[in-house]
Amino acid sequence: MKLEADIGRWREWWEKYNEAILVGLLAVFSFNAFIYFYDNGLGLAYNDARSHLDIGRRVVEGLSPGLAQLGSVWLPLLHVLIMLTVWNDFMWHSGLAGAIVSMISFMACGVYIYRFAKEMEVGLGGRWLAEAVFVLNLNILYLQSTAMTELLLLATMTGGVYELMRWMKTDNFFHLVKSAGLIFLATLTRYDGWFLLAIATPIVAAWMWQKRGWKAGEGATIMFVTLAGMGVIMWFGWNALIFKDPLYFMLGPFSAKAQQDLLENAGNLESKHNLAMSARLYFYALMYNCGGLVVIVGGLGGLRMWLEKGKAWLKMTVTALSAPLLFNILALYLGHSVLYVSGLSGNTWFNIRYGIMMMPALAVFIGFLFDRIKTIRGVIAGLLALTIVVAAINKDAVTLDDARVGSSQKNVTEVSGWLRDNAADREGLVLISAASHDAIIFSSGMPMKRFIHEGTGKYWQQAIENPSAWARWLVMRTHDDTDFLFVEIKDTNWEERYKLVDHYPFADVYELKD
Amino acid sequence: MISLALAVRGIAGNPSELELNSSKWKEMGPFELSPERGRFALVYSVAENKSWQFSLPLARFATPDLGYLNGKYVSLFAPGLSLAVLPGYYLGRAWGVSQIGSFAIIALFALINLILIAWMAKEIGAGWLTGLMGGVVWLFGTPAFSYAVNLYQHQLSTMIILLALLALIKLKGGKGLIIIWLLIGIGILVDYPNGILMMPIILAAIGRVLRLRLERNRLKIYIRPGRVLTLGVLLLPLLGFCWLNRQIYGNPWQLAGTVASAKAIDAQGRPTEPEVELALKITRAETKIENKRVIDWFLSRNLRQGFQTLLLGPDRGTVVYALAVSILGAGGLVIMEREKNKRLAVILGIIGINIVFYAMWGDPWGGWAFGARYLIPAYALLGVATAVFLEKTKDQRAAVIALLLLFVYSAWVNTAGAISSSANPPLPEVLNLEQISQREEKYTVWRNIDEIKTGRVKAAIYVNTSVKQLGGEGYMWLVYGVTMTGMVSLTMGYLRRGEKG
Repeated sequence: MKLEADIGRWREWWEKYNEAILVGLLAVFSFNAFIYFYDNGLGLAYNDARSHLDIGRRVVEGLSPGLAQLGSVWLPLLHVLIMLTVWNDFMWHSGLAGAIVSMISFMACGVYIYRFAKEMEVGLGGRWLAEAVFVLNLNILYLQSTAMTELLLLATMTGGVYELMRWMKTDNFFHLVKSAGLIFLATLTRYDGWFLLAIATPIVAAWMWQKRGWKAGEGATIMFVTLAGMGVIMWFGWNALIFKDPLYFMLGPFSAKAQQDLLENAGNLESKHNLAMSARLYFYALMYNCGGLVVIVGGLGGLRMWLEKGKAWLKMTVTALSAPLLFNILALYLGHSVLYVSGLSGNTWFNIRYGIMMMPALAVFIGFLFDRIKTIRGVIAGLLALTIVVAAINKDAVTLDDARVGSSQKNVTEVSGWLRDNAADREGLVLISAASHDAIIFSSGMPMKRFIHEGTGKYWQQAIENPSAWARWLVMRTHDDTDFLFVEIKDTNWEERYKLVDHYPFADVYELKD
Repeated sequence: MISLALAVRGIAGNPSELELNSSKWKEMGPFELSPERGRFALVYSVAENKSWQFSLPLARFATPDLGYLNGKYVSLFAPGLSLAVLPGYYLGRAWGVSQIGSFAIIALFALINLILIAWMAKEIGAGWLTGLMGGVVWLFGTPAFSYAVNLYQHQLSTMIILLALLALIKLKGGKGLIIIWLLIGIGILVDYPNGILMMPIILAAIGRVLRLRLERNRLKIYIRPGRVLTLGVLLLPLLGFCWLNRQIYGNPWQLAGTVASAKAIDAQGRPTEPEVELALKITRAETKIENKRVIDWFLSRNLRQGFQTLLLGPDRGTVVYALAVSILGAGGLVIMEREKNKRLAVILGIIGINIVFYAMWGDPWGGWAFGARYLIPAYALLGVATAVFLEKTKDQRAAVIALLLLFVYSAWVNTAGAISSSANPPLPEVLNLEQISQREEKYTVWRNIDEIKTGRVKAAIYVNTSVKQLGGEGYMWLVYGVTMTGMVSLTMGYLRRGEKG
């Protein structure tokens, strides 16, 4: 029995609106994932997500609002974008102000992956497989539903490398400018972007030098670095301007280095100066985030891409796409980053989400492999489908564990609940360290202007000298030298003026005596 | 064949229910682990007690892999294997060796598998000789050897998969489909995961019933109604499946693994595990048992540990226990890819699904075991690919050197496992075990070598005859020597054929 249908018009329509259909599907996945995680109370499970929202909010509301509130440690792009909507209380407390940035980034990254595959002459099947591997990853879907920097970085980095590849392929300088622009944005999102800049610059130089000679190579490199490296220069300048030290973000008291020093002193930084351990930790994080099979098949795809004859631009592209892998291992080795994998370095998770950084690259590699090894296409797609279905049925996302039960979370419900119940409707200010307790500030639901924190300038300076003149409540971990407020006021007579009203695992609450 | 006969484990005699519970038959004998005991308990119960439920002594024998349902002790394993070895039990009983008779059926399956590998290799481009070489590398150079001499499902599962694959390759019409559907049904009866492992065969078979083609903007769908009807034969194994479940569990849709387990039995004959106590106290609808979902046993997150254990781990890793077949087989797969061999997809599909499925499984170690026992079907297909490699490689002399070097190692490792014990602990249990035993606990083939050195060989011929005088090591060299002689003979034939060609 034979059934026949003319699908010519459908096919034309499909080919014409392929990207539009893709964007539509990405939007559906993005929106539904956000609703799902929001409904389950997971939208703001990461402590850092609440801090990102607070940073954006402090720029527009608080005792001393202004751009200086963008701070020194975290790069500012996400917070600048959050600023656009975080003035609205719903957008702030629902987390949507940050999630919307991640959601748009998710869609942009999805489109770049598709275009990447198309540009590499991967057929429709390979393109959609690459897309499916990226979109159906639960960790990606979770991170795009929350106010974190990962998706914004993935979009800008993937876009930057995509445009770099197009420049190498077409020799059209406009693509190099676009690449530089996107890498510029990546350098203002996470420090991973700085490493991409460091990888992309020699690629630009080498490519142009080889094709047009030294002079042209020099010119293209200067042009590229001028734009792509502007973010880095701006960040040094910002730190010099606001904190009087261009290296404040790197060496200051709130820097990752300060955090890592504490961990190192406590003997909890195994990866520092241990290359094997650093590589192993990151490899595990990759497997847990991207999926074991995705890493293996993607790795084979990357290798296949590297070995493709007569296309040097593919080799360069693989190198640039692999920047997050090299960066993360190097950062762990140098002690600039920390990553805990349950079962390998203790029994908890911390920063396990760093493993997601290779996801777009692996998706592209898989699409490429699928296209080039035609005899086993069904095997690749079938096995990947099996693991994706099992992950979806069991809701198996390591980033959720990281956010809910790992070291990245803090259950501050009790202490923030106390503030909401006992301080929100009464007059007076709360003195608290935002560096130590941003999650409490966020979860209390109180306006930012009710808090005196490090970012409030003179308020903070005067309040830590004489707390009782300024604050009705103090929130801090008493006798803990990692709590910035306690460190600042421990030598004052604060204990004579305040009474302990409640004690919680993450902070104590003090109220001014009558 | 001689090597297999020399390695089959067992003790002469027709043991009673009570005798089975002695350490002579359990820890020190052929029933060292609960999967063997659980399956043999069902064989014994059906053959001797004419019952699908266990008597108390048999239930004690089957612990800790024992089910408890509606006040009765039942098997936790799919019943297919127990039924398949029943003829061996009856035959053995007549000769006064009921247990050896049951185990010999598994060895027979292994031998059939070796021939099926050779046959399939021939069908996809190798020759009979290289096919047999691939089969020998599989049977004696992987844990397939250990699991050809005791009572596990792996050889039967492999046989069903190979038969279905052969039917797919050889028989193009409706007859082939009928056989494939029947084998799929039987495969599930033997071991439920076979339904997943055979998925590439199922998809290929569906492709013969329903085909989509795109020709110049015209989508053509070909359906063969006669072939659709062949699906009806699935009813036969399905009916058998339901009938057996009804006999054993009183519910046609109850899966064996989802029954509450009774890890131990107290002096009064009652199950003692908390899970079962819970089941006794709470009404059935409220128990955890009802919520036990098969899918919950699989997590994509397990893939990292699973791949490491199954492929690289010192306790189960393929590189340790199946080195020859994996290296030579990989070579064969590469050749098949270069030649655009049409069978590559289905072969690689089964290998891939076998590895990925058990890597997602919470216990990729397969409990206490020898090597990656779950991967025996994948190793069989790598055996087929090994034959392709030997047939099509350009440098036969280099291939022979590689084959012999790799096989010398792999056959040695697996002979040690086959004649001694399959009870090697998983790596994660070793530290706890050492704390309990206060001594070093080995978890690799060296544990087997230690046992052989102390004479703890479990092969029936060694245990029951005067060959014992050779000592454990001497006996191992005997079995190993016979295996190597067989392989060297085949290799010489291969080289001679090359010279003539």
